[in-house]
Amino acid sequence: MDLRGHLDLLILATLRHAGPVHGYALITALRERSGGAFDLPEGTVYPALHRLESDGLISSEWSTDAPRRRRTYRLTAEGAAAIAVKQREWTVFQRGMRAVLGGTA
Amino acid sequence: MSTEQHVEQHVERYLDDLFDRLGGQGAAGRRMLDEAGDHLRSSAAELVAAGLPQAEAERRAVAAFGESGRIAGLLREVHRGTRRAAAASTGLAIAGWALVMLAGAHLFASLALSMWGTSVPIMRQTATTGAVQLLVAVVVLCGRFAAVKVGWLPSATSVHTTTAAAVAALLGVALLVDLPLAAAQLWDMTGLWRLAAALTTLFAIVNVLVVAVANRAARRTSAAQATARA
Repeated sequence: MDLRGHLDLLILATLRHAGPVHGYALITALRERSGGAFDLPEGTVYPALHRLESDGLISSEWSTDAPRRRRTYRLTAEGAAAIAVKQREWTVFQRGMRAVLGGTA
Repeated sequence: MSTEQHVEQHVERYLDDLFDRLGGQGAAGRRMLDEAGDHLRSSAAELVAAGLPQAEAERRAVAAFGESGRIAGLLREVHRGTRRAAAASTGLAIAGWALVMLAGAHLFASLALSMWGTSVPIMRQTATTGAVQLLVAVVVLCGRFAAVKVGWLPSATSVHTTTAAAVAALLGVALLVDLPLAAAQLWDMTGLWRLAAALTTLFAIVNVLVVAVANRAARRTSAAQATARA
């Protein structure tokens, strides 16, 4: 499934649900929560995480408690607010699609 | 070569390839490489725990991660804007501090001239130039500070910012004071202008040396503190 344009909302919503997690756990949670529907190239999630961080919607830090050095991501207050905005946009988009497709969506 | 060494090459070869493609992306690239390594090893370990042979687990982990060129391209796109903002922030900091130093050189020269009781017009003109430069510097630095506060520019600057500013100030003196004076020699300008130029240049040269020594001392102190912490 083509996730372009929706990946940001999916990442933010998964982080809200899963709490602070590293990249691999986030991608696993995203795949599991979507029932395998969002099986995107896993490496493409990292540039999206970097972009969301530079936009201030998430923050990250190296955690050293794991056997390997890992970058842990968490949602910021701005990120939580952005979820509400993006969710409203998604609802409008979904409603429009349903209307155009005649209730088959 | 043992089977384990051969298997390890799946992930290692991918990381080597990704490293090549991330070239020139600095800290962001290094972070991406660390995250990719952790991800691929975690993914392979999970597949092994699910019953796959190590070789197949690593092959699948690499395949699921995606093509290295595409990931490096996406990362480059994300950080292109960040690099531009960092360059703008550093450029403004260098320009602002260079103007402060240039103003300092002019004000020092005018102060020295006033103490020696020489030509008042030359002293005043030098002081006015310094005051205007200081005003412009304040505008540049305050503008940068405001841009950082609202999040348009990053605050981080290199440790070499002040050194670059000192060198820029020296070049500024050479271009704005020494070069015009050298040209004016053709029309036999007064010796007091030469004195003002010499004092301004002297300040700018001493400034470069002081900044270089101070930066070197600061780097040594922070290295000693890091060693003590370790």
